[in-house]
Amino acid sequence: MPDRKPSKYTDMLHLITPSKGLNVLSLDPYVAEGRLAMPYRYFPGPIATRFFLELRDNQRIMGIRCPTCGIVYVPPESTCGTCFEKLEEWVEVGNRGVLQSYTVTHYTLPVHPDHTPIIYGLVKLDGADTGFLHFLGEVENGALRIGIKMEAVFREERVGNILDIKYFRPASS
Amino acid sequence: MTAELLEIIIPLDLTYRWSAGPHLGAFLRGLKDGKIIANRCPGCGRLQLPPTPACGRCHIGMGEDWVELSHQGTVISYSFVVDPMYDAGIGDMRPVPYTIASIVLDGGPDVAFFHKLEESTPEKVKAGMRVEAVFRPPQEREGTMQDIIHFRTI
Repeated sequence: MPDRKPSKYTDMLHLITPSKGLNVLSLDPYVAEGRLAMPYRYFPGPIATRFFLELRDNQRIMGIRCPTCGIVYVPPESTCGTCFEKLEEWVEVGNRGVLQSYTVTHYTLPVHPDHTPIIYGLVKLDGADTGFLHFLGEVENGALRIGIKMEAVFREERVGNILDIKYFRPASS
Repeated sequence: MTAELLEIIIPLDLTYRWSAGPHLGAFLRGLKDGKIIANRCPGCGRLQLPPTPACGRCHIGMGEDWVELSHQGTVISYSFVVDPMYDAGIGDMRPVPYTIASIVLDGGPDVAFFHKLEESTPEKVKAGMRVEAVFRPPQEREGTMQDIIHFRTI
């Protein structure tokens, strides 16, 4: 039998704990608990990398401006969706913005944060032309209205991903 | 262009609950009792293994005509697996090498049954060879496909 090298992703196996597989909970009716463990690696590319590094190192939210139509995209894109222009002009936008839309969710799945409610909001930051989708937090019951001012809350320990912004909260005036 | 390029690792690990339904459930409970159970179509009389809720040919409900099959059968096809493939169900690399085979059980359906063979020497495995199921001891069986350890050469 030839010797084969293990696949490349074995270096991520320490992130998960192996188990025996299917765990039978009940025989009649037959119900089993299964598992889907698939650690994977994602390369965000140069544009999103710069965006995440600015969040991590400077707590700055960066957008990118289209040279033709002038739209400022936040989060930044590499190509303008309307003009198909290559985007290279970085602009800093504010940590505050206007709530464009939101939704409140009262249940969680294993991929979600482990608390309810989970609130998603679309925030158009000062200087940006697009809505930025993220979690909302520190929200009093009934405090959300379309059009109110929101501000970004950064994590203490930032690692360079979208959750370096914990959430947006209603801005203190 | 920044010098540092980020690499984001997502340690995706989800659990789910799965209900086998009455037909596959009967098959898996049968394994725990050391039995291999098929079901018979009331229309064409064909056996299905593992049991299914409907006949793939007649498109009618299969009912509950359970048939216990022989533990012996004939290998019709096989494959030697040597690549240590990742198994999302256990969160680890699947041990290699192993031999997977398509086995038609005696008196059974024309649908083959997939399981491992004990024999992993390529020269000793042939289509047409006779094999029999080796079950785990009763106290170790849980009602999964692993209740059959493998099929050994008769």
